Amino acid sequence: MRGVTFPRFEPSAVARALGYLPEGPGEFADGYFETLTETRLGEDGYAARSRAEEGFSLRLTSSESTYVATRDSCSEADFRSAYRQVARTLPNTPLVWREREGREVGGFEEGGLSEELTSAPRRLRRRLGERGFGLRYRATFLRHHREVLVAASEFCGRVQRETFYSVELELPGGFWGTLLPSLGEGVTESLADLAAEFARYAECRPAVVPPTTVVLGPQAAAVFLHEAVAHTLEVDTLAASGDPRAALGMALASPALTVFDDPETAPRAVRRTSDDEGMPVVRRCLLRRGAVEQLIADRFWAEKVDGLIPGAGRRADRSYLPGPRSYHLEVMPGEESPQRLLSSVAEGIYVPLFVKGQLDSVRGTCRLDAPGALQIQNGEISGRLGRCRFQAPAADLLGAVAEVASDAQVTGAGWCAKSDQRLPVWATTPTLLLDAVSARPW
Amino acid sequence: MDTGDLLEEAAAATARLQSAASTTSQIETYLKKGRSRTFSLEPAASVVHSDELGWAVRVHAEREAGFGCGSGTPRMPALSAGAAPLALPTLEETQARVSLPPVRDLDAPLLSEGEGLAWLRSVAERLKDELPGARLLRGVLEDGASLGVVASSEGVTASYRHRVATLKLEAVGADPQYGGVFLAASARSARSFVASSVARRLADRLAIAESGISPEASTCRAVLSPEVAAAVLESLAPIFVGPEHWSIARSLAGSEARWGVSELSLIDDPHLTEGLLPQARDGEGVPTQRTVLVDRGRLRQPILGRGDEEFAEVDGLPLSGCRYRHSYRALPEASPSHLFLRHERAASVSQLVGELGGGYYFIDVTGPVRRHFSEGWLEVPVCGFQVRGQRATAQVRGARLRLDLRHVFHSILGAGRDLRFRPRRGCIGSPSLLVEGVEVAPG
Repeated sequence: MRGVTFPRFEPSAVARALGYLPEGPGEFADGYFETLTETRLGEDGYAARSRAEEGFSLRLTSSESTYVATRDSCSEADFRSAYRQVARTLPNTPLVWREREGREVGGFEEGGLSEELTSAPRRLRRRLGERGFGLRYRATFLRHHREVLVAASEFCGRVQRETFYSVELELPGGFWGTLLPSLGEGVTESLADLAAEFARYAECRPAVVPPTTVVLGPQAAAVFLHEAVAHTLEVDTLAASGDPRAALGMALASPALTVFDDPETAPRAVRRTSDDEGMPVVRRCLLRRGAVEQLIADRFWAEKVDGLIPGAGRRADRSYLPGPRSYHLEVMPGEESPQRLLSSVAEGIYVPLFVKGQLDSVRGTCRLDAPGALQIQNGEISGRLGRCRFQAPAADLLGAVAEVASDAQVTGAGWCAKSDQRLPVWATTPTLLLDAVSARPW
Repeated sequence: MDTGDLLEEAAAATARLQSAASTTSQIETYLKKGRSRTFSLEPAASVVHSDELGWAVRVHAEREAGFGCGSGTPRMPALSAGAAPLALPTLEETQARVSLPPVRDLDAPLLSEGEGLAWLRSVAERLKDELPGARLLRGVLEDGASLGVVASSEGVTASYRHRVATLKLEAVGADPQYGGVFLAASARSARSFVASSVARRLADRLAIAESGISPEASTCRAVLSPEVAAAVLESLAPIFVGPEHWSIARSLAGSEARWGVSELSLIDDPHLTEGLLPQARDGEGVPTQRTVLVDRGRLRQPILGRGDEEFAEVDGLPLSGCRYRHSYRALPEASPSHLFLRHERAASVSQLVGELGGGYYFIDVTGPVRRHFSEGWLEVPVCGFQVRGQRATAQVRGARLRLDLRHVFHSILGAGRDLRFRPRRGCIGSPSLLVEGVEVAPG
């Protein structure tokens, strides 16, 4: 089966055509071209499901308005009609048309049903069996591949590629999903560990946790920091309540935390050098020793507000407007090993993962749902608790971070859903220790 | 492009894919063309013009099957061996003639750029007038129309035309500590949304969030708005789709199969032309029909379709096309079309509130519904008004409505004439309901 040439248009011809659209300072025009493939494989042997899309979106933006036209196919006629819609006139489209010849991408066959994917359900079953896991579960594995190119009125970008996997597990006690940069043997091993632990929580009672020491494993820390740091410092979130620059310099977290957003240090298969607006990504220091140093901004906000750096514009696909979002959070690791950190806890809990996180951007409250937790007494694991929910102002939770361990791990922070856009987000985080945090059942 | 052209395109794609297939396969091609305009105000006024061109192909062979979807030209999906069957309907299963009465607004033009943005600005302005200090944080209005066709190697053909507008708003009051409120609504045409009533609804919700009191625990009468009643029905919907969960419905109804009061019926009607998505055939081309699930209080049957023949045969129950495509990216799946409650004693909402005496008028749902079928209860977080002697005496927030599923439908005293649907997997709808003996608690 054939794929498609990507992108079908000559980017320099597209850039030249878009160059006619901006009329004043602060206006810009760009074209976003993408192919997406997704292959879904069920544990129970139901048929593979595949999705292969191509399309593009043209945009003309000023500080007052944005006009966008999206198309699900790529022909000269599509381009001309989309161009007229964003120009909002009927010009003689100044388009020197050139269809490209190039390699083919985007077909179902391209790694869709690879051995890595098709063997994963079997490997997970075997690993769970080795752990004595005899309960019913359902696992769905998906492979995602995306190629993006942006050509704008002033530049031509380079093709950006992302390939990753996601897993959805229905286990006794609930549903849990995660993102993975690969599906190797080690990955199914740790997936089996977490799944088995998750299922054990189902036998425990939902828990009231009075203020105590809480240790978050790297998976849980990734979700926590995505909600409490990344969403809080997205410039559109801040602008909803005033001048976003007011956040700069503010002590948002404990001095133990230094956090970057850096798409270039993400796992190799999802590494990016430019964002979904074609702007170069930057290593953005969001928190330096707890103080806000930079905000997460896209091109629109960087044009509108002085001092912001673009390069964090993301969109779920061509039909959405880009918005400022984080991509790969990286936490500066500490010096203590996680074992030493755990052994220092006289009384507390260890949370390996959260199944859901949410930031109420109006109130600044963070909500994190854990399927369960391990009790710690005198540095030793002493039992298990059932479901518990941490809900508190994001600044309070960030201020409670007392120690950062040295075990930074690459992990998927999950699917981020904001303004109806579903985006994969990544993190490199170590174990964190928080002082005097409470939780209640959910 | 008209329906005939698109059908020809789908038939040609099916033939092309079948000739390329290595084994004898059943192949079905679904094509969808859509056009939509999406308007929003934040961070700047924006208009997105989308031309959608989607396809889905199902393949079923003796030992393998697959489903693929995408944009552009239909392609053969990856097939996997040992897959559960995705057998397609035969021509015979789809031959019954069925036609819908004319559906309004299908041909009305989409909102223009000026209309869409002006409508959102009007909501923002009116909201400020209704509640000083309130503002719209996010407003998205989408107006779209689509044409879909199915053509299979079995000779089955079907076509679908839809027109849907959706609205999503988030607003905040003068003091952000009370949080934002959300409002979502759907209609056939965006022109049927009324800016002033949308703004008033947002203002009511914000006022309740700011000054509402927590209710005392009590058992009382309550009027549930269509939004609250539909949320209750939505959480019950799985037990009315297919045989899988039907035993739950039976056990809740008891040995006499009484689900509710004798004026109450629960109906799934794909042909409801005043609904959001009326269609004569389901996503596989099988004719649809109206199914009465609860008939004047008596439990009759779940929604049954292809694959449920064995269950239907035992009690001689009718089957209907019920496998709908909720997107071209999804396999057809058994679900309701327009599932709604009907009460024979319909009255105006003000009459229902008048009959409350003392109790609550709950206007909206504020969080996810919790349900526990085996214990027979359901909990809905709600907000609204405390009512005494036909007057609202207090705004109520942070209320939890606990419904005993064995009794709640036996306690419905009346219903409004304001049937409204929520589009989910299928459209779920209800009029306002006057219910007695509901447990209200803080939290």
